[in-house]
Amino acid sequence: MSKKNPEVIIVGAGPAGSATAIRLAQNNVNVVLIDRGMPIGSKNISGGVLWGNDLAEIIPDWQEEAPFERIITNKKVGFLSEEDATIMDLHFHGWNNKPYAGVSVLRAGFDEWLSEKAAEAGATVLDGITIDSLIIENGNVVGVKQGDEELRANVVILAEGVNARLMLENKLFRDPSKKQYLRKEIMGGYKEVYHLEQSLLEERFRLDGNEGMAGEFIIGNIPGDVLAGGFFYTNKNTLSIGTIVHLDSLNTGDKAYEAIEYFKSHPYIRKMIKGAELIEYGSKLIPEMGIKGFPNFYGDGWMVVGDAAGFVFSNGLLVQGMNYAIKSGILAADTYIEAKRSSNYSSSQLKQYEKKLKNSYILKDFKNFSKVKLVTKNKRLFKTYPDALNGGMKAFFTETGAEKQHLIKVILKSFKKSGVGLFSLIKDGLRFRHL
Amino acid sequence: MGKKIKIDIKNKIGVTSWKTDAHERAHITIKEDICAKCPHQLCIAGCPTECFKFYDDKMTFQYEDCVECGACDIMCDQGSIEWSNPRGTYGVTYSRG
Ligand SMILES: Cc1cc2nc3c(=O)[nH]c(=O)nc-3n(C[C@H](O)[C@H](O)[C@H](O)COP(=O)(O)OP(=O)(O)OC[C@H]3O[C@@H](n4cnc5c(N)ncnc54)[C@H](O)[C@@H]3O)c2cc1C
Ligand code: SF4
Ligand code: SF4
Repeated sequence: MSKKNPEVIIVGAGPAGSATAIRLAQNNVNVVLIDRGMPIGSKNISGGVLWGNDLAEIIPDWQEEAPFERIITNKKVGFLSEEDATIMDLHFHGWNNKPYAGVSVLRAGFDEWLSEKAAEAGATVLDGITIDSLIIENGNVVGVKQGDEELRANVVILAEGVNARLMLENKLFRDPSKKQYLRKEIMGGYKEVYHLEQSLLEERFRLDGNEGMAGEFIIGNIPGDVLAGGFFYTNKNTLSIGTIVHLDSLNTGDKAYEAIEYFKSHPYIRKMIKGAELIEYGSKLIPEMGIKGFPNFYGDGWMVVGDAAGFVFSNGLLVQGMNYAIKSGILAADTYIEAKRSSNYSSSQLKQYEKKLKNSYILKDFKNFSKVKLVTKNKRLFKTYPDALNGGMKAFFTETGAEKQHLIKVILKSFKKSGVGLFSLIKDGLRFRHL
Repeated sequence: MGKKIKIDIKNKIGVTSWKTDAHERAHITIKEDICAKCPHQLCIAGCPTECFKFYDDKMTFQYEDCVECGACDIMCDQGSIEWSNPRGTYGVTYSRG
């Protein structure tokens, strides 16, 4: 590691760390960005769709040059039961216009590109280095260590992602006795990438040019108690497909990695990957700590950004983390730039970061959706409603020669048949307002 | 519910790449004596690549197939797992992500 001390060290070059580095370097801050992957990006997985336009704050024309896959114009959300599906098909033609609402990305290439932008802006970017520990003196974080080597700086920014070992080791959580994450605050993500001839993919998903499709589903065909959602995203000539499993729904004997097999076995999904070749499999966690489980966001000489801070929003129908990662990185960088004016890097100054988070959409989103787990962890959402909904829809649309009934009556009958009492149904109906 | 699906995960991970470090540098270790008394073996349930296997009345762990997700460290509440990131450049290497 370099001899001269930088002003800021960033651990982790995912979207959070690289965005922080770009903003700092653009403001002439001497910053070192360190990642354990070589090349950078090779440790990272997402679905993934990068939603929103936060990157424009640091790379105004990113939508021209970023190596994204496709522009999302079509979104499907639905309920899968044993072999049936009820799916809402959203087609927003205007999403094709800049700024795009969302673009699909494959992280190995995307993260590498973003870290190159950090280097271009003037950051020192080091790949293939795992930071083993933080140097803490009198309660102040003053640097990082790898083996016997030390590197010191005014501020260390933790951008290490969801499996935040440095945060855990150094007890940077609100609850200092916390030694590990709890099952209920983390989900497992399991992902496969399939190769499909570009022309076949575009035909299969009815995509014009570089349009893309995003799909998110409640999976209702998994036996036992396992609660899982599924997703697929179209790339240029590959398809990303995966599941998100609530770790606290796993019992002894279950295997989280099997959920994706049930998802792919569903006739609706099976047809998508017919003839496609599996080219990668991987897994990464997803935080769902909620506002009460968040760590401290700052302390003396440090701030935390992105997944390591718990900034992933998921309501069962979408997962967003990259946008929060980028935005929180920008806010942490701005906090440093302000702190530099008074050369005060203690928590009394860095608390401005939390203020910025509160004023941004980040903490507002988490506050507004603080009760979303009432829906996303509701067993009936996965185990009962997909069947009831699909059963009702099927009954309504299947011509039997009998006298027709109103849709709502048929659906309600199907829900009743599924064994859910009226009271639970009303309660769950009310809970859906938290989505 | 339909029938149970079984898959050979070891076959599936053939498409994923690793740079494997030496045995003595294994980034995760377990304490067999703690595992022997474990009431749930939930590490098996959470691991995406089946690094944990209960075999011959003993919990075995294979670090080579680990994708460094961290799930086992969350599933295990018995204090058996010693978890750290692999050395820089080692471990799983995704080319798509
Ligand atoms: C299956 C799945 C689907 C998802 N889908 C979406 C989606 O569609 N849209 C979306 O917006 N988000 C999605 N997410 C969430 C998204 O992936 C994360 O929110 C995002 O990656 C967070 O970025 P980050 O920079 O905070 O962390 P990460 O991307 O995890 O980056 C952390 C970086 O830190 C490095 N690192 C960690 N520790 C060290 C260390 N000690 N020393 C050196 N380097 C270190 C790692 O190598 C890594 O590069 C999904 C996640 C999963 C798992
Ligand atoms: S959960 Fe922990 S203690 Fe139990 S078998 Fe797995 S590693 Fe061992
Ligand atoms: S970190 Fe993930 S892949 Fe590695 S052993 Fe633990 S659960 Fe398995």
